Amino acid sequence: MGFVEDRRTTPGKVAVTIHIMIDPTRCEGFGNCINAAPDIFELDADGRVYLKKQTVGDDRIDVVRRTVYDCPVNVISYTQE
Amino acid sequence: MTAKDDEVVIAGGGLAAVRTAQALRDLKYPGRITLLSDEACLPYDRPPLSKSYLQGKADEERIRLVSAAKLAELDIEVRLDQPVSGLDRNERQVRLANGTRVDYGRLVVATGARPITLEQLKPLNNVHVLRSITDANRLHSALLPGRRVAIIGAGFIGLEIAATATELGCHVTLIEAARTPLAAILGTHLGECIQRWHERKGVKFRCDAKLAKVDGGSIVGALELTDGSSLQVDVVVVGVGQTPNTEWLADSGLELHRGLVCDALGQTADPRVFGVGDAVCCRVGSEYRPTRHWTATTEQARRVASTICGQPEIGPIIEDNYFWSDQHGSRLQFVGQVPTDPRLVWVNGSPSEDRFAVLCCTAEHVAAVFSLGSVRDFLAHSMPLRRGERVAAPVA
Repeated sequence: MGFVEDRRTTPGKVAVTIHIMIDPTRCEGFGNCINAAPDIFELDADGRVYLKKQTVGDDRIDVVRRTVYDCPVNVISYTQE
Repeated sequence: MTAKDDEVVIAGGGLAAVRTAQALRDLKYPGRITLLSDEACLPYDRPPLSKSYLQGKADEERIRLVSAAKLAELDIEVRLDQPVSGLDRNERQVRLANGTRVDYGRLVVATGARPITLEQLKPLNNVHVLRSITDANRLHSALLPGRRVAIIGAGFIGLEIAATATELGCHVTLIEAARTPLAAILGTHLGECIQRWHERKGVKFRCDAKLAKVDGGSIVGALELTDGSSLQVDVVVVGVGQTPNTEWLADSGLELHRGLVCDALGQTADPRVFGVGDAVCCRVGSEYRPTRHWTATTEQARRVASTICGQPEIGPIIEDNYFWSDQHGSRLQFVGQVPTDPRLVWVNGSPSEDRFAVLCCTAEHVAAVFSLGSVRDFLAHSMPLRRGERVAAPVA
């Protein structure tokens, strides 16, 4: 079957940006997001998540989705444009 | 490909089922996706059932895994109250308990597990298990202040229920067959630390003891234990493990061994049948590994979806064996495998404190990290292990 999203860069295709959003008030410091994407997420001194970067390229979509699904308290969401 | 070929039917309505459906849509899977749930409500997250939900601090909305609007947006159909009863692989049909059949192009088995019950307690009214939201509602209404609660099994679920029931004003006794709670996971030394901590919060323990006899008519009045002691009880909770819901596959011809046997990609011997979550036992070489943890289920779901989409992920699964628990308002976190006779290195606090973080080491390496109420210390020390890296043990 070959209906999987084609993630290769196509010449002339406009790059898609992923905007990551978090709700730190829900964060309980599980650290699953930091485990999956230490370049995007970090914990502050109170043990709550903050973003080291708010946008990433769509080549990171798999890892961003993983952080969304792996957060037990639904802190993370994203939009694509 | 016929229209039916690209219809994915997922038997189940919990985390494994939802995450598989979501992962399929993430990969732009174009066919119909139908979940057959045996529950009466939309999929919810189970870990809070023994914690915030049981306490009454979180409602059904709060623990829902995905909203009805999101399911509609993703074109995922969830059919509630549809327990499955059999599988006919020749006809590519799932049989439902109501006598009807559902055709599939691909079937994902995600029917989960159910708590093991004890035969001698089965018919009695004040006996509880905890797996579903219905179980949690029934147990919550029984945990009234002053009630005497006996919990059989001091694993994570038993300890969580003990903490919640204590907070709700119950008098709780945990009955455990091993020398300490969590001995199989943490070893007896750390198990004892957890026991002492619970005791400081008011929980009582009867370790090295099993249920010998039940006294009472239609309700349990007292439990007699193998150590010769007895307990007067108002409520009994059984938390001694779970068994996979795979009886409906008994005549399917698929291999069953502590669950539906799948490979690392979630495949069975039938290229149209896959498995995810607690119903599954993963075969790696000659070893059979049941699914144990929340994050492992999401990873399995992703792999099954990739396989169904014709893009299998052949890399090895890094099994970090990470789990957490919330008890008495503190977070417990664990990663790794505690070796036999570990050397314990306390990086924060000490065994007698209510907050600590400890490394469980072999002679050379850090093999596990365990923490109580020390989220940041756990994070700092657990990350390399979770990524599959080897960490040298600190010098003694």
